[in-house]
Amino acid sequence: MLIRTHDLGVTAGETELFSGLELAVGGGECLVVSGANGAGKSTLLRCLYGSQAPTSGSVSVCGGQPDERSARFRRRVSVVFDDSALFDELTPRQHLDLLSHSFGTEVDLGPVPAPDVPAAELSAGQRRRLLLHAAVARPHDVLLLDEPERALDADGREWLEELITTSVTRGAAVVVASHHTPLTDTVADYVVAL
Amino acid sequence: MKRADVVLSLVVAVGVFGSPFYNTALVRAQLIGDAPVSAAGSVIVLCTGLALAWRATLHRSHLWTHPATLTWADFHGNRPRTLTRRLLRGWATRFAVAAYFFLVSGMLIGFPADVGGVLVLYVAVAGLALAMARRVRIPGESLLPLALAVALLVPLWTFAVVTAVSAVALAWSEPSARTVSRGELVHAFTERMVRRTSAAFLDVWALLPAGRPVPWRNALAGRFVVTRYVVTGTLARRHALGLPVFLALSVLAAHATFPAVTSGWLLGLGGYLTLLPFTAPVAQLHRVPGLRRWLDASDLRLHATTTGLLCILALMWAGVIVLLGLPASVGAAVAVLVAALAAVRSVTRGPLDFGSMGMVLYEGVLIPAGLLRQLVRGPDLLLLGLVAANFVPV
Repeated sequence: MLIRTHDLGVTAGETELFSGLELAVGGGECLVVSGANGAGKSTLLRCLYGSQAPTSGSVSVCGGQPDERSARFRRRVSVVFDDSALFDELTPRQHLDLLSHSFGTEVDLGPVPAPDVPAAELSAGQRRRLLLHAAVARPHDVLLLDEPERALDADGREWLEELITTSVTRGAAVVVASHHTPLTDTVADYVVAL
Repeated sequence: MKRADVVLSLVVAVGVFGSPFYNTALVRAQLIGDAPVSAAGSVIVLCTGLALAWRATLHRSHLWTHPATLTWADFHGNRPRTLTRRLLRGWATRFAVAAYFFLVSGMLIGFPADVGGVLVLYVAVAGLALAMARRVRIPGESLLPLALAVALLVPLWTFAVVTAVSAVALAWSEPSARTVSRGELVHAFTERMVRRTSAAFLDVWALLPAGRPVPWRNALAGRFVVTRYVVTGTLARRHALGLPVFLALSVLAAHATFPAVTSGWLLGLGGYLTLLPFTAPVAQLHRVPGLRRWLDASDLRLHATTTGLLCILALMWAGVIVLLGLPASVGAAVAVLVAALAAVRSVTRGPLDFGSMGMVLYEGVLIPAGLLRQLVRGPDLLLLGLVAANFVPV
């Protein structure tokens, strides 16, 4: 199993977001986490990435404790979170060049729009497409996506389904936090409702 | 701030900034020693101060308005008056600081014989700065203050007359306080808020300049991607190149005025400030985790590459200053390299941990030692390095 949690729980102030969570996601599987706003979907993903410490229980990702500060961990785990960002002065082509030569893999421009326009001038949807394309194109064993459908149009959401399916087919363990029911129906092997 | 704190701050400020006037002999001994000095040094100080004040005024930091004011309290036509008052306040403060440093240098090394020419130059430059800042931008205007570098080569009166005529010519143009759009005012307000928030939370590295697009499409395509990233990020801050030029002139001015201060100290401190804007590529990777994920390289490699590039830039900068007359020494070269290391160390600290204030009671005063320790990461290396560089044999 690439992702495993045992008795995982997070409490924010007086509020218990979730507790006693037992998860196991293997390569080539997709888990969708659903739930109302504030239920703790993003918090769970941050725990899986090591950017938030759980209140109780333990997490294992790629055989070890998650730690986003570790270059080795970052190499194996690809994410699109709220804090995912672009270099405003670089174009999508330059972003993908950076990614491709940094991770030592071929990354094509794919469906990324406006490849030679600086990121600062891209629309929210275009920025989202670039982030998602980059997250899946780079080598990864685990893919964590927090509400990836946000800012995407109808075509973009169909493309997103293909993107997630591609990652799963390549053998990655994928965890998606999403409100979007059609996406859940299409890509989920398991669903956890928080 | 309580009234007592304000009074205490004022007393301390008057004590510190007034000491050159009532402790002249002591300050002169510390800064000048027995070195021969010429009164031209105070003119150099004045020109440097005027250039910095002129350039700062051209930033037009007075052009901002709170969006709520624009929506609810902008019906009486007071906006241009408010903006102009703000411009005048900032302009007067900057030129008063320039005048203070001229007076201090004059007290210490003597005033020039042509005091009248100096006064006319001061008034003319201040007038031109005000005339330019109140109207819309002229392309390349931020480089104009560099013209003060030639003020020493031509008769002061000639320079002052040309400046005064330019100021009068611009005085009748349409003031930007009347024509500036609401969008620009709100944008400037947002930028100001970001700066103030960063300063309030001591997140000073958020104030490093943002990058601008680089025209080379394949800048990041190829081997040595970390080097490419650092070089591209540095070139994306090319608009900050004015700062090294100003600092180089300031170092020369400081050397002419205070010859007892060694080249090592001048080049070390100047080099540190010069390099800071160009540490932005590595600083942003430390500040924004989402950007760090684009680059698969260890921190060590990233820091080493940045330090290497900054060392090259710093040596080039120092080389130009040495060619212009600053004495060269091995210690000065070491100081420049220390400045590069200190700049990288400064911007690669983690986020400030306000939970580790480390309050220490010293002589009845509570000092946040833990917070200070975090803040001086970088400057600590600079200080120690410069002290050590002074002991390097020639």
